[in-house]
Amino acid sequence: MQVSSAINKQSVALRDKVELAVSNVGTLVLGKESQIRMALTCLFSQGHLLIEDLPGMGKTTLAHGLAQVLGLSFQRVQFTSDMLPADIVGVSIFDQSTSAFRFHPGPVFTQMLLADEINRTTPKTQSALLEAMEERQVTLDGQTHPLPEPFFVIATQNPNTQFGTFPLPESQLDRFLMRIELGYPAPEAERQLLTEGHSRSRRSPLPVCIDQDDLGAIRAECQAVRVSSSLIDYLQRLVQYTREAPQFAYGVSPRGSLALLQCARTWAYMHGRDYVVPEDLQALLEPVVGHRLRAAEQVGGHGSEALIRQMLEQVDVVG
Amino acid sequence: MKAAYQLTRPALLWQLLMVVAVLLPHSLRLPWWLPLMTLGALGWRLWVHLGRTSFPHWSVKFMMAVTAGIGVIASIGRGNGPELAVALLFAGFSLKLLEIYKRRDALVLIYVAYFLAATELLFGQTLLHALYVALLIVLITAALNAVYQSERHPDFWRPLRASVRLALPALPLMVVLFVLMPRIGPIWYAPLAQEEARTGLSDTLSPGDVSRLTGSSEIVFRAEFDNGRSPPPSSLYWRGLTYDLFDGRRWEAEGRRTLSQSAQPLPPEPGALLRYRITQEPSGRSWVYALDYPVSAPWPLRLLANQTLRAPARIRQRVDFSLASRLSASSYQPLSAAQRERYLALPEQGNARAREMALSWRAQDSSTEALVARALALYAREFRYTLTPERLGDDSIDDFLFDTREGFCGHFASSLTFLLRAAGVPARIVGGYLGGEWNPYESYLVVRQFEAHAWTEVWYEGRGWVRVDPTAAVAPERIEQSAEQLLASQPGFLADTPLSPVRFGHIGWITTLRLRADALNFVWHRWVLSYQLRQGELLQKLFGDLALWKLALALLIPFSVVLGWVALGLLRQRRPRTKNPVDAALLRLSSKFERRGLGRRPGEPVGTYAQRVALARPDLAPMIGTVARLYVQLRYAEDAGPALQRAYLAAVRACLRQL
Repeated sequence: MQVSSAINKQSVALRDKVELAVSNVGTLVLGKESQIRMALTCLFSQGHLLIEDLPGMGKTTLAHGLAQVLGLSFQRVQFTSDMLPADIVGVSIFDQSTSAFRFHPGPVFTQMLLADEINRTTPKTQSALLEAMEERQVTLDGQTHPLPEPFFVIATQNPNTQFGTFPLPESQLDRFLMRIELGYPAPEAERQLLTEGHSRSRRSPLPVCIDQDDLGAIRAECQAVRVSSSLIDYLQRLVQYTREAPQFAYGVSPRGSLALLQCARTWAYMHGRDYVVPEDLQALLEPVVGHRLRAAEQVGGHGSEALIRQMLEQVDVVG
Repeated sequence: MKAAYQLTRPALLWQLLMVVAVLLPHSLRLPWWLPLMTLGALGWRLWVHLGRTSFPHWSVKFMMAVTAGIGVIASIGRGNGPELAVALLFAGFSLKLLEIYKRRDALVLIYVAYFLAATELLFGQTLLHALYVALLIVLITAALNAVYQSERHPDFWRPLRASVRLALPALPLMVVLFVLMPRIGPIWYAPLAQEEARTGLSDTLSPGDVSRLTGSSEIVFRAEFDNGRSPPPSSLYWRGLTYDLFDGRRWEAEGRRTLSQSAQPLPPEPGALLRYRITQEPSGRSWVYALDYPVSAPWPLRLLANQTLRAPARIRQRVDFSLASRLSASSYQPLSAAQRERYLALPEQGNARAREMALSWRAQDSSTEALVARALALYAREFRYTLTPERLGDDSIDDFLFDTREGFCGHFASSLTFLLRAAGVPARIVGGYLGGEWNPYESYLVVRQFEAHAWTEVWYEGRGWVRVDPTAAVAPERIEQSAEQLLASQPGFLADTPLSPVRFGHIGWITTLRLRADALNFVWHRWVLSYQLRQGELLQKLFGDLALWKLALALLIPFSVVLGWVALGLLRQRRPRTKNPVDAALLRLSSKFERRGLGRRPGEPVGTYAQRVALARPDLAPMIGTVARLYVQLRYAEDAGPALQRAYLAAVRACLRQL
């Protein structure tokens, strides 16, 4: 009893830290609490995050804030069309004093990497980053250089209908655990932004709320979140629906359903539950599954809101 | 439906399968080259399917169609309406194979296939035919299903399963319609091809004829007795026709000329009437078999002066008659002078020794009784019964009586009639059948060709015609036992049908199987093919007086039941019921709310739903909140416990009560 209450006390403290982190980032990105929670869920689930929105919506600010409250080393790469893979992963240079090649690590060697406007660069450079994301290591000239732990990538992208972009192919979109959109701020939030503009720029960096030990503990707690068989039933019905209904070009892969379940665990944890409920799956369906689906009629693009809405409406929660 | 829709592989295979199945029974009746042509077309279509060749050019198809049409007309002739029509349909159907490419072509083929399957019943209506046509309908429907199968997931077996699922609910409806629908007489009639000459009694009798019949186990007729029992074997003399004119070698049947006047129906005399029902197989003859002696003729039969029954036309299909016979004796009507002369007539010459013997007998004792007794005593003493006697010469009666002294019923009846006529006693031969095999499963008697028999009728002054069976004197076992038992040892028995199941009568299970199969066939005939004869009676029994509303109700109720059942099945398919009591209670609650416009939508989690209900019905808010909370605990937190579940179910009940 005492042991369990001690554990409970510890986990309550941990959850408080998470709430603090959310509210701290919230002072930076106004009125976007759910997006902040979503981003944290993604990071706690050890996945990479893709933020898709128009320029100037606060994508970079969000990434900055997250890095600060988590106390992670932060690098930012602005992707351009003339970038080369070496600009990200680093390069080996011949050192005349030692008569040997020396590896100069690129910006990817950091704990949190903000890859800004990832769809601006060429597929070759995109794939170099995505490879590092998947393997969590960089191999150059036969030498393997592990990336630091933890390693998060937050990539931002303009909607690919814009001019001069290289849309990510499905296989690479799949590397991102979640894709979220920020959207325009609410009028009050925007008003606050406009009136406090000056003081905001002078603000000191956010305090670290969650250190690396906390991060490990949070991940362990997320793993302990229970998943009942009826929830698995619902998840399977959702997935099956995408595979059978004719409006889907293809269904969700097993990797996709695993990702959904993993995120749902974290999401349940963040909402103070030790079990997953269908609402968790429903909340995460669009960010986790949306970028993995494509409508049968629509050849290009990944506009999947309608598909997700259909899944939410058609698939019975109670089975 | 896209215009240029192409058939999927399973659809095409089902089509080909359907074509083979539909054509298989027809192909036995059609000119030999037609099935070959079909096979060719099938092969061609398969070859196209495999991508080895292409569809024929339209000119080739046109040539083939014209050639096939001319060929069919030339080889069948225009006289046989239905055969010709079916053959033309058959030819077109086969050639159409070379055109099935799009859905529309396939549909044409399928609809014609339904029609062709139905024409099968023009040529036979046995149980086997019916079963085969039912199978065809399932197959054709499977082909139809296959055509409409989704292109994305073609599957070979699914169309068949769907077809069976469609056919099963139709089955009870079919039975109801069959039983209840009033029958309308045929509005259309086409004469089918003449049945080929069948074995059976003919209108001439030479002594050897009957042995020819013992080679066959074909069924002549079946008889059911109203009292459900068979009369003793010694009275099972089935009378068909009488022979009166002898030319020295063969006897000729009494024709219409001499029998033009019908007999008076027998007056009701003492001696119980035996009532029974005869189901006669097609014989190509007009006589109808009846037990000695039929008392009256049901319509359309006629009772002739020689106490035999005659149909108005040759019997070309199974017919049913209800008859009555009196086993005791015929009525007495004095012979006219012309009749007496006819029944005494003998050829001018020949068979001198027989005449001589008859005259010498008459000189000793001229009474009919004594003459008959003497002849029978002679047969019993000196003669032998065999199916394979020696051939007789020109004076056949003499040869038989004095030399060979062996033979069977034809020989005995013929020689006895000759002797009696020579001695001045009117006599005639009666042709028919003796005995029959009792089928215990459906209680009827089967009479087969090998039970053919001939006996003599002798005119006794004051008594009338009396049956005298000389065979009984020689081989009493022929009368007392079944023909099968007696004949089995004879070499000529069933010579024509070496594999006839009757042959294996000594093996018990084969006999059982044979009797069962025959019983089934008979029941099929009685209750299905000639059901219209019994319908009125049966309906009367079922519903009392036949009010129209009762009939309508009896038709309507099964229809609604079956349709309701199908509809229910469809509904169930849409929303499968759960077995879980927790979910079931929730669904019950939700369906109650649905009537108030507050049903749960499929994608709505229970918590969200509860909030929505609570907003609409604040009075129920705490209760529905409890339900939702407990539901989530039970189903997702897996805090399973009987107490929790009880609490949940109680909350649901409380909620339902509140409503």
